[in-house]
Amino acid sequence: MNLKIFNCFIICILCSTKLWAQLPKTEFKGFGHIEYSLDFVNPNKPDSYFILGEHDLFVQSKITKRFSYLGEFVIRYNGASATKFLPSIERTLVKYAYLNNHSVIFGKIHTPINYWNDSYHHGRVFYPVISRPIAFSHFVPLHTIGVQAQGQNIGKWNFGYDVVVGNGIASTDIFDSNSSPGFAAAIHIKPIDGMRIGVSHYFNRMDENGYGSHSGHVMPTGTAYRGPLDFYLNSLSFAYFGKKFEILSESSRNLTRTDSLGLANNFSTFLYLGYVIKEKHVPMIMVDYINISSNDLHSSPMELLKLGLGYRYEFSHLLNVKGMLEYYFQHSHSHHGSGPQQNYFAIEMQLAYGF
Amino acid sequence: MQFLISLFLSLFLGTTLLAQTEEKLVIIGNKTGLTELTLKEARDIFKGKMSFWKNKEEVIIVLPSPKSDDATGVANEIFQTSVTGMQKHWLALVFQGRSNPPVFVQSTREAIDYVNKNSGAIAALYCKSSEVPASLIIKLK
Repeated sequence: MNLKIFNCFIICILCSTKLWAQLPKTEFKGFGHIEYSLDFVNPNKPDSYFILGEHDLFVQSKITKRFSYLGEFVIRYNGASATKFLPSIERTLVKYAYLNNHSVIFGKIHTPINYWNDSYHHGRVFYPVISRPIAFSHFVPLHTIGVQAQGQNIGKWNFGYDVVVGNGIASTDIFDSNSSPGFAAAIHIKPIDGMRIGVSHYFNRMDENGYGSHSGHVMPTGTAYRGPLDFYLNSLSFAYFGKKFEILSESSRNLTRTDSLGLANNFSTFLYLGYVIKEKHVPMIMVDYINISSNDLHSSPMELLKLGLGYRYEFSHLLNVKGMLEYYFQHSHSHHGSGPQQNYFAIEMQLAYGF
Repeated sequence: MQFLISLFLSLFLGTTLLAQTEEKLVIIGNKTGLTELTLKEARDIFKGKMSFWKNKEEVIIVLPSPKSDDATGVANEIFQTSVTGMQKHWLALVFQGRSNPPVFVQSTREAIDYVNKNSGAIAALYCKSSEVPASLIIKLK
């Protein structure tokens, strides 16, 4: 009897070892950040405070030779939540590599319309500056749930393409009431190491204008326009991250069309320049500008110019600290003329880490 | 005459032996379909620009971890940067979802064992070529 039990035990161990060997290879990583801010929005009473940034669990798994999984799960502060924190699934996708450097992706992705949204996602340790370009809070459609065709490193110029069809801007993670899907097409080349030049087009016809869980857009105040709206976004990116110089330029032209106020013409541009000293020290400057037309009914009309002068120190590829002196020229449009103007200084520090 | 032949043989053998004992970039692979590579082709492969070999085997990149003696040499020759730069390159690529992560190994011996056991694996080493089985070596043109 004891021998039988022993044999069963040995067989179980052998089977479990065999099964363990067949399990997919999975890697976990985490990213997070903590910030300090001193702003002079009210020049008589400057605000000085620390900020607990979002924390990001990143999972990558090779399921089979041609299938892989990628997930990004973020926990961030949210004052409306009972616990003051909210978890979210920022990316969850299954990739099928059907041919060398050509893949099909299913899931929730970061819409590949510019270099930033395609490269940095939620890992602040990758960011060259402290914050995302301003346009990300206004008219960049951050996420799409759907299907993506992707190609990369094709030919001498390292040509790449991304074509996405999925739920539109007004959708949630589980439902899209609009009859037309969101559509994105992007191409890029990488002519030399560290350089990427890309253009993209995004289109979404909304039967009912809205701000779902994928946009992060700021609603126009005082209006609740729920009629049909056509949303177009054309973007141009130039990125070069070399041994000595770092350049990132993101420009977007956004058009929205409604029957009531016609065509609204919006524009944004972001420029970052960094000079790398001994791989660790990066003094940098940044210009970030956005102009949202006063007749726009999707995003809150405004004009904002942000200038930044800063420094980044890289302790390692998983740890850096950034400091920036920023100046904001803000001008809010109203629908019936010009709104208030506000200019102010801010100092920001960020400790970004991966683990 | 005998002196000249002896001198020639000594020089020839000496150079050959020196080449085997000198530490340099060595590429090894298993069922990659490759017998030789240019340095540019090697750089493209180890930077993640290929997913499958022509024989449809998956490209499995094997790189030295920072603790390995090979790390600095491989980072300099292949990535033309530091070990941190090499790690940063791959962390960003995996985070973007553009590639599966490479296998990082602690030593030359571990890299050889891994490549031996895995079809499609290719490793960059910085060692004496005499340390590596000749059957695995992919010649650098």
